[in-house]
Amino acid sequence: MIPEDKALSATTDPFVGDKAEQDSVLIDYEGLGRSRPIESNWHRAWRRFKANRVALIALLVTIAIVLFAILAPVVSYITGYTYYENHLGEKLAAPGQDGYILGSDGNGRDVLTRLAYGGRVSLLVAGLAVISLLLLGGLIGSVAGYFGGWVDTLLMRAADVLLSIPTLVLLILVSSFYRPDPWELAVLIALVSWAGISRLVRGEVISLKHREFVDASRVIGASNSRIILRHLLPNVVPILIVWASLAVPSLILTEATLSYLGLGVQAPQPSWGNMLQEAKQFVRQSWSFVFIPGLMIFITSLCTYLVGLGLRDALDPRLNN
Amino acid sequence: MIGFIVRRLLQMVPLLLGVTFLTFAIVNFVPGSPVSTMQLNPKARPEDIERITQNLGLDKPWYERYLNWLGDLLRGDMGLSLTNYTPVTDRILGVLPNTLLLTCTSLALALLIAVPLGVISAVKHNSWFDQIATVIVTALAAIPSFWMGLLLIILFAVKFKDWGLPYLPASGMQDMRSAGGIADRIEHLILPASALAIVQIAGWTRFIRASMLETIGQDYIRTAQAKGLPARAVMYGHAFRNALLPLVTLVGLALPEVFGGAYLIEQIFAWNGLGRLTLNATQSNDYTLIMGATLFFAFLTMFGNLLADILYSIADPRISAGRARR
Repeated sequence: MIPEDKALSATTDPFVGDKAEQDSVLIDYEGLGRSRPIESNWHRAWRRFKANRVALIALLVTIAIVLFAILAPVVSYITGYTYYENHLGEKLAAPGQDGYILGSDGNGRDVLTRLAYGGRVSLLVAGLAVISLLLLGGLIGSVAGYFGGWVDTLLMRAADVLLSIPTLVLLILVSSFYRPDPWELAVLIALVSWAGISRLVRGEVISLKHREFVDASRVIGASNSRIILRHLLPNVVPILIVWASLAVPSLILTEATLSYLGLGVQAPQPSWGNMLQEAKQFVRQSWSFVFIPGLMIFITSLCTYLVGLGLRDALDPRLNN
Repeated sequence: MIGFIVRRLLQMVPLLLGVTFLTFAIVNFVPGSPVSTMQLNPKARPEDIERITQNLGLDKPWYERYLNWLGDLLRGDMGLSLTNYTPVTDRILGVLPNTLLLTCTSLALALLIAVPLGVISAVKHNSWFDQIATVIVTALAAIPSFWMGLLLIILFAVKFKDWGLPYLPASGMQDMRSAGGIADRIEHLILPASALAIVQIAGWTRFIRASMLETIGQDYIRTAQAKGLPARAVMYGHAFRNALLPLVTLVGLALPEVFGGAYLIEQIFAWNGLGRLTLNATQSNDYTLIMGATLFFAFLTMFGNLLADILYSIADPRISAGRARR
């Protein structure tokens, strides 16, 4: 008998593409001759991603922005300003004036320092929201797809209801009664927008659940939760990665929009969105103060989107060789 | 055809019930109620608050309130706005024409740019035009609409004025002093409609390019080319018309998104529409108005989906044949 983990490791390979590829992997694991190393799929994806120069540059810029946000205290140390300290005598300084590298805002706070701290909020919310969405949408989608029947009907009708109100409208409805902190905001976004990803996972699980490896694991006595978590979900991983990387830019825009409307993160804590909201009243005095936070949102959402496109091309099994 | 429409309408009923329940649940189970702000007001006496609570029916259990609210809704009564005690329906319908004017203008503007851009990109697939268009479209998709709006204001309203050029008004729907004619109205419409159009261009162009590319790959296009038709006639006579068919559907599906985009743009340009009404309602905790506006959006989405299905089955006989069998 084949040891269980060895027999199953072939099926947990996240790159189950076409039938032929799957078969060749299975044959390899049975020791009839290994034509390529086990990790080749991830290596190949990385090799393909590296070859895409636009995606690579976008990845570097994204990493730089993340570092800028993580190192906000260092930025604060270098500029010599905190994000909350007012200098009412030095309002709306132009970039470079009075020692404000990117200028100061309507309360005389340093824009560069606030930008770094604001980035923390924007990226934290987008990151947490995408993780909660993957967990929630992945769970709901796989449960609906795997069990079918009334469970499926109930969950998918709920998804239909969510899909018939634009996400932004729902979020505005919720946050107008309740002002969330970044963590709650991320969970809130996930709670109103899991419908899309759960449908995707459901479709994939339905197409997977009648494959032989699922029957095989059921025969050797695997429980439903084990089949879902160990055998079905890993096969959905590439799709989830691509979906997640393309969802991040839109989540960054969602967070910025809510903060801009004053419904997201509350002052004095900066986020790129609420910096823009504050800047709005000074459009006639200072264009740089409006321009800079928006530019950060734009660059971040553009670069994460380009990374997402690169990942999709690198992971898409249809493009294999 | 009529059977199909009736069936689709019946399918909408459970969905609508779900939407009303969700809206009600969010408003009622999220902490904070319309009286909680009144409780902070030192002038409000406890008995007043008690009375208002009773008037609003907030002392009854939630299922009773839900059924009452649903019953009123069926009679077209969305309740009274809590800020000025006029019917919510009147307030929504009162600003709806303004929102329609803004969204329809922006949609027309966006399509006017996106259709040629998408079609030429597809016809000249992989050319320098296609590549530049792709770069522009990708960049446009990442721009936050409110930032675009603010930048337009800075350039065309503030800077043009500073430079002594003819400038555009930055906010409002018409000039306050001169009660404005049509020209004044149009002047006020240009900036918000452009801002809303610019953020839509990306999606439309991508869609039209993909649709056109798919059509060009069809057999009947090869047939048309094989029988010696000039390339222009094949592309613009045969391919173009078929590629635009799915656009009909997409306009229906995009309705809620276009209206949602108007939320922000109206706020920035002080455009007296549905979005501005709703956002002001969120600031004053006017929960009947917010619920009304949310429901309106849900209706709009479902109506858009229905419209898309109907239009598509009229436009494309292959689809309606498939539907009839289902």
